[in-house]
Amino acid sequence: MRGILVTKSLTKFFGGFKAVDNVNLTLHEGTVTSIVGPNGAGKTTLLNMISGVVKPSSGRIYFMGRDITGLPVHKIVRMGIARGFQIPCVCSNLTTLDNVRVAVLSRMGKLCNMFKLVDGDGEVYSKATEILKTFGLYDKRDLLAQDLSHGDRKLLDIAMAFALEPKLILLDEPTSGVSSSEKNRIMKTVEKVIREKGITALIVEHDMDIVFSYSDRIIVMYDGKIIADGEPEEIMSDRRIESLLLGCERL
Amino acid sequence: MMWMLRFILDGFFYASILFLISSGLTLIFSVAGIINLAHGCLYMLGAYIAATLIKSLIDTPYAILAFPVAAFIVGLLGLFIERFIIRWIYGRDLVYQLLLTFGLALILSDITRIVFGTEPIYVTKLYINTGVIDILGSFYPVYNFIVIIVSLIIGCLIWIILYKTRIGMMIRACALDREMSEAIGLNTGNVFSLTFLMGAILAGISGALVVPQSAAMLGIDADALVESFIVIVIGGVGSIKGAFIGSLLIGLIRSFGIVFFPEIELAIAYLVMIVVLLVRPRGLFGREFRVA
Amino acid sequence: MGFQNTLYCKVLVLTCILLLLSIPLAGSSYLNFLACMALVYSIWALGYNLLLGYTGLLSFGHGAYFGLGAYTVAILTTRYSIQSLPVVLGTAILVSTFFGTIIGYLCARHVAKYFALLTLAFSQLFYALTFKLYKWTGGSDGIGVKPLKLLGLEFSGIGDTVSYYYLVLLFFLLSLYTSWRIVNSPFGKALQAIRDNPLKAESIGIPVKRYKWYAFIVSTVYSGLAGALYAPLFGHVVPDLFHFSFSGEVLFATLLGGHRIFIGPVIGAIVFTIARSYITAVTIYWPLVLGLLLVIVALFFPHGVIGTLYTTLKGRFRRL
Repeated sequence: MRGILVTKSLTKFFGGFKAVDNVNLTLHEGTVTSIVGPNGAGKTTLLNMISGVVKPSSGRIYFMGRDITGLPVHKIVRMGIARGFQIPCVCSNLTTLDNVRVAVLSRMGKLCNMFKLVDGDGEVYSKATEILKTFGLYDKRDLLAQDLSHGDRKLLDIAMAFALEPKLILLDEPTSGVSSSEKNRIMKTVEKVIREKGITALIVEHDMDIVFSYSDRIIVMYDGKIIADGEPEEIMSDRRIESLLLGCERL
Repeated sequence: MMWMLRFILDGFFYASILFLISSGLTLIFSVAGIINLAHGCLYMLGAYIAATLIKSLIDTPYAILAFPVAAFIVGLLGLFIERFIIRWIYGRDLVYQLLLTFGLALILSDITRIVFGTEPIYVTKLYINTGVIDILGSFYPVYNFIVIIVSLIIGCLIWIILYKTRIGMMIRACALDREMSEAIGLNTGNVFSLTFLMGAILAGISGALVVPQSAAMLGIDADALVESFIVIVIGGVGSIKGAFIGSLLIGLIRSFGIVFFPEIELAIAYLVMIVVLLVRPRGLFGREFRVA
Repeated sequence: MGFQNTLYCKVLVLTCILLLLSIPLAGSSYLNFLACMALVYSIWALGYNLLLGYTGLLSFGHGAYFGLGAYTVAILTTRYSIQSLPVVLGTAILVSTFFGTIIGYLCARHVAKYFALLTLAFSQLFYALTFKLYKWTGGSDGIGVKPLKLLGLEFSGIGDTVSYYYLVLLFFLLSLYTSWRIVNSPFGKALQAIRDNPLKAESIGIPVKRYKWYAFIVSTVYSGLAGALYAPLFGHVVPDLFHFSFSGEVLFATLLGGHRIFIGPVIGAIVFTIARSYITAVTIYWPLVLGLLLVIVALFFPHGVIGTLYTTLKGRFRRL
């Protein structure tokens, strides 16, 4: 069975430092995969390469059978890979609604219109409000993104990624820097949307409780390499990995 | 063959002046992160101070003192501007940094106009007095040679300061990563002051050197500023080597252009810049620099 | 953010339009001239702010496109005796947009400081060319501009200032409306997303470099129009229009009113024009005064003039 995303011997050097080392990864459609591992294991770099922010030093990336290696970020996004950021990445001087609306407009290919008013487009508005409601941001739609709480900004960042209706979503520590009550709120929402729409997800996460309760498959990275790959139960029973993960949970 | 040599020497002469201006500008840009729009005014001021001094001392051997004095005064002015004005806007929005140096440029050029008047000051006598030299049966002004040699010496001095001294190491550290330099206990404020001092001295001396060959007049500030921008874009921001190669290129284009295609000489310099921009957006020797 | 479609705003806009319509009633041709100048600057600043305020790109070379518009009008009317208003204005806008498209492509690939430096360098190219191509441009003397003609009427700032004022006002209102539409269009929102967060903009599928380029082109359309209207107003154009210090004026005017407010550039342009006419009347040291003003604004008004005043006043009121 061919996966929705396949990487072939993906490698990235930063100067002499090998951040990602010969990673071969296949993601199957509709699954939720988590990447765990200590800081500096190359998890974020891997995500950056898949989303096109960082160009790989060698190796190829295939998405739905097409080679996307080295394509510009916006083209990869248009093909159906969306991305959430570790540090919430939103447009701080736009309102929550406008943040989502820009993503919706981008998805619908309506961005380049110069003479139509955004406010006049009911279709965009209803799609945007639907997403805002799903992520519980509807009441804060008229606030500027810079006035939102950290957790809400994180949600908005993820909501914008989902507004693109991706086939594959990459989430970089969706719950970092968020209180534990909010952590579950975010993850429950994310899981609901992912399962409903059958979106494939690749999540980098530090919180082991979250990793074990939400993923179908766990990948352990260390020193740029994949050192273990399996279902949560398998990974949990691996003594060697347990000590490694306990180490990084403290971080 | 002589005419070829002559153009090349002329090109070297223009390149010398350009190199002195642009290396100061690129130093300030890469170390302090400021596009100093007043840099051309410092150059013009150097020219006016030197011209006035040479004019009154022309028949004495002291005329030569005009050059270091001009460089010294302009250097002090640069230091003063950094310490009391520019210091306050490091790390501020680019809009206000540019607004500030633009305001300084307006002030300095208007003060120059008020103090020295609108008439150009010529001191061609010094240029003629230094005489000519016989090269392959044709005569070439000695003064141009002096300028080329002086700027080569200054270029070497910059290189020694930057790469062989402790101060140079600090300057390079600041250019590479400002926050990191602060974190390891470097007094970046002093480094910035020093950079502005160096940049202003270079601008002052280049203005002074150009005076005997042409003149001190209003408007040369913008020309100098823009030509050194072109040099920086070609050579790459923050690279002294880039400034050297860029100046050489523009200097030669200018010396050949003035004779063969006077109407579009400058356009050719821009064309070279555009080609470099398209092929190597960071310039020939430029580092990748941060988005912020 | 900008206009809201409330009754209050509608009344305010209508009052302003009525006020603008009634300026010639004062019967002072100097006032008409000054108002024309302010509106021409406003058109220029409105377009400029699409770049500065809405895309977050600081251009130091928008005098070039203003100058191209003005010189095109001057050359067409004087050298070729083409005075038809639509033809002349249309060509002027086309010429400046043409160069804006080329130069914008080269500049929009670069960020922040580099962008400012490149735009400045390119505007000085035109400055130098006006001296070199003196057969066309008249060199440092510049060239005269003949009035524009439409339906038997003559439009220029030298003759009947009232008709020229209404012509400029028409274009000003048109510019105001179109730029308001652009700012609130999907394209405008995309630009604001780029301004706030280029990385995020790219990762929701906005081709950032291409959109910056488009924004540049659009802003040069306004610059070209403003320049084209400026030429017959003065009846004479000089190379100084291409000088980077002229480009600095539009930056200053925009900041004066506030680049984060839609109407800011217009307010700034009006205040700037009035202030300059008063200051140049009493002193010949206008560049010096302007320079001092710029330094003061840069040092002491960290959020722009209007923004800083607003925050200070708000603090004052809260204390009362």
